[in-house]
Amino acid sequence: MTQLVKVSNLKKNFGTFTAVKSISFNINSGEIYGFLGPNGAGKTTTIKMLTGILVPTSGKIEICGLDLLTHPLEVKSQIGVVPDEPKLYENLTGQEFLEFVGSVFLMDKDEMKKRIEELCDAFEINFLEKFIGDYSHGMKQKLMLTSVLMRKPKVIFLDEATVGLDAKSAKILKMLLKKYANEGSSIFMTTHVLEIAEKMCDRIGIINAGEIIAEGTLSDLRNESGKQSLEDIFLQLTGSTDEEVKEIIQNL
Amino acid sequence: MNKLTLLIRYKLKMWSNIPLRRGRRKIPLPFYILMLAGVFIAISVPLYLFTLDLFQNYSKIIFNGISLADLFVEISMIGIFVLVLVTDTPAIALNVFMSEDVDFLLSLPISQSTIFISKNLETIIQGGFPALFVIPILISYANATMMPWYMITMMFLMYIIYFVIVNSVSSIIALGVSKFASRSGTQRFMVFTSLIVYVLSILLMSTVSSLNPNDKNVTEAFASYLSTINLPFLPSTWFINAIKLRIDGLLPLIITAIILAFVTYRISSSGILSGYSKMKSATKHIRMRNYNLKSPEQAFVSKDLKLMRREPSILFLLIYPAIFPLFLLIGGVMGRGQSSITHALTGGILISIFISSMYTVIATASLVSIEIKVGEFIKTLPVGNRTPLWSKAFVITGAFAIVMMVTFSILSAFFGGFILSVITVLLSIPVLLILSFFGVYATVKWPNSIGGVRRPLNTTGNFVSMGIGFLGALIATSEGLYFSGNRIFPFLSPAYQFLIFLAAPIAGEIIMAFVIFKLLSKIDWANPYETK
Repeated sequence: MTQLVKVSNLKKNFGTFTAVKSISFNINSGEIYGFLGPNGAGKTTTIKMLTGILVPTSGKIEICGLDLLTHPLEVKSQIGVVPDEPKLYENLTGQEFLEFVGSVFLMDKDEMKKRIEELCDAFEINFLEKFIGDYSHGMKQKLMLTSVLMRKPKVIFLDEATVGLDAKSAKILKMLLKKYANEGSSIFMTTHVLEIAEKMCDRIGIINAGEIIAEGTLSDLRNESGKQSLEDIFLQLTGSTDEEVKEIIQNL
Repeated sequence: MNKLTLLIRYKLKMWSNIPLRRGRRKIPLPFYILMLAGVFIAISVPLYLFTLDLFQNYSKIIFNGISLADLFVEISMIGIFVLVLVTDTPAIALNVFMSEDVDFLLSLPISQSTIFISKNLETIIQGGFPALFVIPILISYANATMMPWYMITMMFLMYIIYFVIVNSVSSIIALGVSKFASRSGTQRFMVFTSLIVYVLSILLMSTVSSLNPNDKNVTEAFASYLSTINLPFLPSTWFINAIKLRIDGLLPLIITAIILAFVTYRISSSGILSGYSKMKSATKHIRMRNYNLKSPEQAFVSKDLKLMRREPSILFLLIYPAIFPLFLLIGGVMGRGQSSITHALTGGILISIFISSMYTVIATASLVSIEIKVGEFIKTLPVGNRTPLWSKAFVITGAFAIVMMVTFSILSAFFGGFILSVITVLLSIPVLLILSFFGVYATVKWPNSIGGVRRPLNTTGNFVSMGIGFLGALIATSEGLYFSGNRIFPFLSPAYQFLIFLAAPIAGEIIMAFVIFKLLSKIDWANPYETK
């Protein structure tokens, strides 16, 4: 199976603080990889390095067979990124934003138009002629998703992509991602909703304090930890037991 | 009342914390007050002295029981009514009815009326500053007409009541605006109204300063305005009558203020709860949209053009080079002579180039700061790191060049001098481009993390940019001056003229370009926006 994402010994320092400590993992073609971890564990820093937003202190990132550091533009043309908090040009309309993205990625006009119409129908987007500055968080998220999904990139990175989406849109997104994975794309997603990770991801990596502390399929993680639910596995691995949580609640 | 005090106290605390967020020392509130008082005194004293002379002359000219001095006060009151109305209405709509922190405040056990009053006070503190400039006019009116102390006190009391009327009208209109206008539209409208007020103020000041109280034509013209200005239903007429303790002024002014304040208080307080919609009338399933795809570079230029066109603070900067030549020309035309018009035209062209050079840096910085705000998105696109930044430099340079060209073409159609206009604009373009690139460098080097698009640079950035902008302006103006056949130094030989006004500036331009591009190469272009 083709490995579309290969990460080896990836490290990121901010001054004296090490946010990510030499992590390595791979994502296969057609695979959905869930990247979990508590707040401040290094998830967003990792995703930023994988998408060319942050330069790693050391390590190697290979996407679609290309080294991200030496071929950043070629890699970026094949990936799609949906951030946790979409910051967009407030004085552009949704349509102008999609035109801009389509132009930068050298999309075919007819293909783009068709894809946008399909996605607008799916996500019930009826506000493209309005200025982005007037959008709610969910609307911005839908626009950002459209701008990424209309291109059908080979690798899609999603950072808490379901936050702000209504139940129907979140369900459609999950099904679309599954469909894209079946068509050969790789999906790298971070989420705090463990149920999503449990249902969607083929493999899961858990990061804590900048280190990957567990990785594998859900059944691998179950076998290793002896726990059934992903929530229990996650809490055990990140150093919080059920008893500890109960004690905190009792003391409140 | 305690909650109102609490809200105001925390707002003041937030304002005084702004320098701390910028990494500077906290500035105590008394210092701010002293600073504002200094600005107020610096403007008020000359205004007082000027209007005192005016009122002393005008108070002697009386038509139908109204002196020209009264008429001047009435015009000032109408002016302040319009000024406060156009600036405060969008400000109240944004701060009171569309503010995001109002949602939070409404979730607290604080009454709507308290929230409304505190937010309204905030707006008055921020936007009501121009209304203070009527005070020196009123004092000089009182002095010129020899008012006793109790009437002066009454006059200021009436002014406060007058302000209540203006603020109430603003609040009611703002409530209406918040129901149909979008937040971004209101923000844009607010900057445009500020621009209109600014231009009108400058025009009014230049007209007033050119008035000669002893000129018979001027006094006659004022007298003809009497029937237009002194109308019985205008609050400005009530005000002038009220300060003379006339019942036909006192009663309508006080009663209207009470009724309007009560209505505003009731409607606006409940208006906060009725809320607003950020998204107005989204259309259902528009199909077959037309998408215009371009090359990546063209897409960036097109996007930056749209962002520039829709950012009022940048448009504000672009309008200056078009406005200032007009002022000089008005002066030239009033000078009534072909030579004064020619001089005014040359001066107008040069001042336009000078202003364009000064503002190119800050306009580019503003456009770059929009990109910084979007930040990480741009780094996920498959384009070189320089493309987004270079496109901004070209867009801003092009915009200033077009503004100058259009302005000069219109002026030269009436007054001649087209060739000089073309030459000077062409000569200034390289300087503008260099300054634009410096604007890009300055934004990455000295960003103001909380200043937004309007104040994209920190103090050091502003200081350095002003210096570089001034240097660029000198270079561009010198070249223009050379081709305008300047007569500043007639004793210099043509060779020296060439050396000083053309060769030296071009050499300076080359050195400046070299230094700025060297500086640009030192910036980490791979991560120009990386969070430190």
